[in-house]
Amino acid sequence: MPSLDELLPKVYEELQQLARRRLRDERAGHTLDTTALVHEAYLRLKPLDDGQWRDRAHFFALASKVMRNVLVDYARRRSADKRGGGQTSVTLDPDRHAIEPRLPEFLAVNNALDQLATLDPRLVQVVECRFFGGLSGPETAEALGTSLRTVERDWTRARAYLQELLADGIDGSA
Amino acid sequence: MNSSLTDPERWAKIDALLNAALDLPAADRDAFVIAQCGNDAALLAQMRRLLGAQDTPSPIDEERGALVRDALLREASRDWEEPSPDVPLVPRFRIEREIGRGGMGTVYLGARDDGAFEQRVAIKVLRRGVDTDDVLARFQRERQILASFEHQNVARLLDGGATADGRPFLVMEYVDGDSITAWCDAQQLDTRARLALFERVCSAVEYAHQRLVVHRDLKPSNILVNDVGVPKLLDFGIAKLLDDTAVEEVSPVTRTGHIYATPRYASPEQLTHAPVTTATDVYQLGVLLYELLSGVHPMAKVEPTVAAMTRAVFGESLRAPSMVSGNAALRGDVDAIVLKAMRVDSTDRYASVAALREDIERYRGGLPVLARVGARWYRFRRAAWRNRLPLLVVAAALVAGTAYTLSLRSYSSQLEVQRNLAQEQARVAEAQRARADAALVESTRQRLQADSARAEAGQLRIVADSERTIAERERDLARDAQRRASVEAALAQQTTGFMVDLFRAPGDETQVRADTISARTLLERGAERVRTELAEQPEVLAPLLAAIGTASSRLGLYGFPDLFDAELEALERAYGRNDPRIVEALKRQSRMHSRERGFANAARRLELAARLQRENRAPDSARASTLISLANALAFSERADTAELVLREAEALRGGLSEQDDVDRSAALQAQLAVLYRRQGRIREADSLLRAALRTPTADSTRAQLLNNHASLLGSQQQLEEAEQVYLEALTLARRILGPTDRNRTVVANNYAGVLRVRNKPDEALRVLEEELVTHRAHFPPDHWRVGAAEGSVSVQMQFMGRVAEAIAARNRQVAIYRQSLGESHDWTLTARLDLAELLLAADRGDDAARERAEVAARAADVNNEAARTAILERLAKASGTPPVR
Repeated sequence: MPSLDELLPKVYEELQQLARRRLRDERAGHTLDTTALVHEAYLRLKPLDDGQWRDRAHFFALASKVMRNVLVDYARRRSADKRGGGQTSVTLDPDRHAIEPRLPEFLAVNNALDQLATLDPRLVQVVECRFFGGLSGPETAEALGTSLRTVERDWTRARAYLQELLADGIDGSA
Repeated sequence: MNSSLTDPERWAKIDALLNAALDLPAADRDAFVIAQCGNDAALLAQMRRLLGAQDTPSPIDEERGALVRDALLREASRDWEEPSPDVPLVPRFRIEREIGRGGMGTVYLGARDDGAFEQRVAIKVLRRGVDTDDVLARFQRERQILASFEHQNVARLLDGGATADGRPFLVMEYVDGDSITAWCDAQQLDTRARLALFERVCSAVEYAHQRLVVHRDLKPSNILVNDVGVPKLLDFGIAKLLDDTAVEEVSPVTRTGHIYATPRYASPEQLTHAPVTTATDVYQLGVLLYELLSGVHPMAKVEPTVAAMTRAVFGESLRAPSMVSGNAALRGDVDAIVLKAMRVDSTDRYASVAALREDIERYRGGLPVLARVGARWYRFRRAAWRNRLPLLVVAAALVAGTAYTLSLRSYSSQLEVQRNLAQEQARVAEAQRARADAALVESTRQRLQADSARAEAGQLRIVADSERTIAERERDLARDAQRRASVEAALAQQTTGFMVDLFRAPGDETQVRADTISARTLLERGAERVRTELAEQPEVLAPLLAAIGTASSRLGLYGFPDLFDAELEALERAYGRNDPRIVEALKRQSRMHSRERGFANAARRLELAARLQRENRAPDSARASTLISLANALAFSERADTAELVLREAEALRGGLSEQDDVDRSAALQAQLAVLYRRQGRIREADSLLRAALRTPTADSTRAQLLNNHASLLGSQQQLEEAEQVYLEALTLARRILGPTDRNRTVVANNYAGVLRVRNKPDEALRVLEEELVTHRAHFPPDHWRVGAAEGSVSVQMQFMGRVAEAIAARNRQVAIYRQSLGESHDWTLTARLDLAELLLAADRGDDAARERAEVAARAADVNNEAARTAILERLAKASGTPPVR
């Protein structure tokens, strides 16, 4: 099986392309959301699937990871722009204004996940699938090859620890 | 304060506690952790926080998380979009600047982005918003046409694909130069030098004609001369494939009512929507030569609108180039050559571009030119004919970057009288098409002038369907000539006046830049205005609504069904519910719906038409005809059962299907239904449908199609013996009636060979395929891809028969042809080379096979068609046993 590094660019490219396309469709009334995007990307990459993806589940886990990278990259760039005195947004884009105050929290979640990964990487995978990949509970269970019960338990634990880690971050002690 | 979490040992303990607590019912958890934590107050506080987190909102929670995530994703996608909406991202190329803009797209100057070598290119990108299926098909067609071209006077196609935002683009050789007329003037070329240059242009057009392509838009701005004096023909954007009838029917290229040409350079047949042939290019070359030699366009003073040009082209004699330019050297031979190329009747022109070029050569060589033979006779006939032509086309318009036109023509009682005067049938046909009342022209022109002050800035333009109106009116005339003639004349007068008032024809010859949005505005405004101002005159309102609705539908605008409904309502108010005009309108409207693939809507209108006809006791044949259309719409709506019922009803009508046309349509429809049934797995029903259809006396071409479909069905059911017989019958028929180059014929031959192969008759299969190859070689240039494809089919059969060496030889020939005609990086070329590699491997020529594969691998990335590229990469990967890497 090819390594993650080999597959990642392909998935990345596909997700970007799809996102762009869907964004254009959005003006015609479709909405761009992560869940749909990841599923569509799978359908599009499936024809290439001659043993590359171990299965659908493997793909979804990978795509969720890619989504995390994509979104975090973007969020970092955005907040760097802001700090660096980059041009102030003057667009009337509702998303842009809605996101602005959420960026620090979003990036804090990402940092907290990095910390959590040193403790229990599986918890992070669950968060990646559900939060970044927009997968449902059962899909996450399938993607990670575990039971729904375990996923739900892991989710509860991950939420709890994130809460703690975020509280740390906000207190400035971490 | 929670650094404990980052200490793995401590965390392990916490996590174990948390898990244990979560196993308990919520109410028992607190007691549990109190007991477990003992004196460790910090641990207890932490456990309580962790357990309490369940009830605290978290940033990753479903709703809140999705909100931020999806908003971020949208933001990010916008960020990934092209930096400037105006400059598209073209893979592998860098865009420098815009160099031109047309109706369909924008042309940029660019360069290859890989830095390997600096080659300047022209990149034509389809405009955003115009990418309807029709336009995409046209763009694709231009690409296909150019891909097979290799001529030093035709700008080469270098690449193509889709931009980052999905718009198709073509990369062309960039010609840094002037239009041919500007260049000749700048170089101060004399007549002989101009003629020599012109001959090279002719050779490029001849080359296209040999490949069955008519350019249709030859004009100075499409012929550039580069800095070393080589003329290059550009822009096959509206070119037409002469043998492509199947595509032609569904593509917009020949839709009635459209002019795909620049009015200033349009040929008489383009102006009147007559069929376009190579003679059109001869005419346009004539105009070009006129302009090159005399310095002015032959109709320079005429307003470049379809209406004005039509009047001028049909109505006035051309002044000879020598008279216009005052250059006595042109008098005689050169005048005669130019005028012969520009004859109104295409059969009076040079029979081919080659004939035109040869006549110029004769002139340059001091030989007598053919153009002067018969010129006097021509002048005489033309004078006689012109006197019979009092009626001319009235109004016209351009919209949306493509010329669409409406010619409203009225018929007066004079028309019948005039008709009797006609002596030559072809002339009569053409004259009828171009006829309108001259007095009407004059009065509407005056009115137009009077009203021009009122005309608003973004003047409305007429868009509508002319031929259909004509056809319908002609039918009406035949039915009720006397009454109709006077009514129609009065009606058309009002209608025309109103339309001309509403829409002013545009006044510039350059490509119209109005986009579809303004076209929509125009049409909406027109519709609104007629509906309010003509509410009391439904008989005038109805045809106008029909014209505007049709135009809207053709432009792909929404809202035309409303107009259609309004038209029906107007007709009903004007003539009552039982008037045949309502049925006619419904049928026309259903055709527009079908064209938009709106088969369900088409079916609905046809159902109503059929019901009205039944109520009105319309003739059986008319009812049957409607029912067949209805069955067709139903079949395309995947309502096979209903379609079949309707079809049976049509056939059951006494006297129904008396027309051969209807018999054929019915048979074709059964073939269509059979395909539906087959897809639904209803094989037996498909089979009996096809057998029944084959028993009806259909046209040969329909029959060949039915036979092929039936054989294919039999083959799929392993009824190979019968399949073989039926294919043989199909092929025999196809060879008799279809041209040697007809693709359907090739399809049948290949199918037949396939069954023979399965039936273990390899020699016969080979014979069939070799016969096709011989035919292809005889009727195509040796390097045409169709010859290559035929070689490929032979190779497959040879391989099957174990004759590997011969299979390799055939495959090699195919590859050589494809490389030449399609290009090195065309997916067909690469696929053929992979086939070749497999053969080589079978022949123990592993090294040769590896070399082929390596070359394919080196070019695979350049394949534009994504699916094809993927398939090629997969095959390469399978061959090498490793997964494909992009």
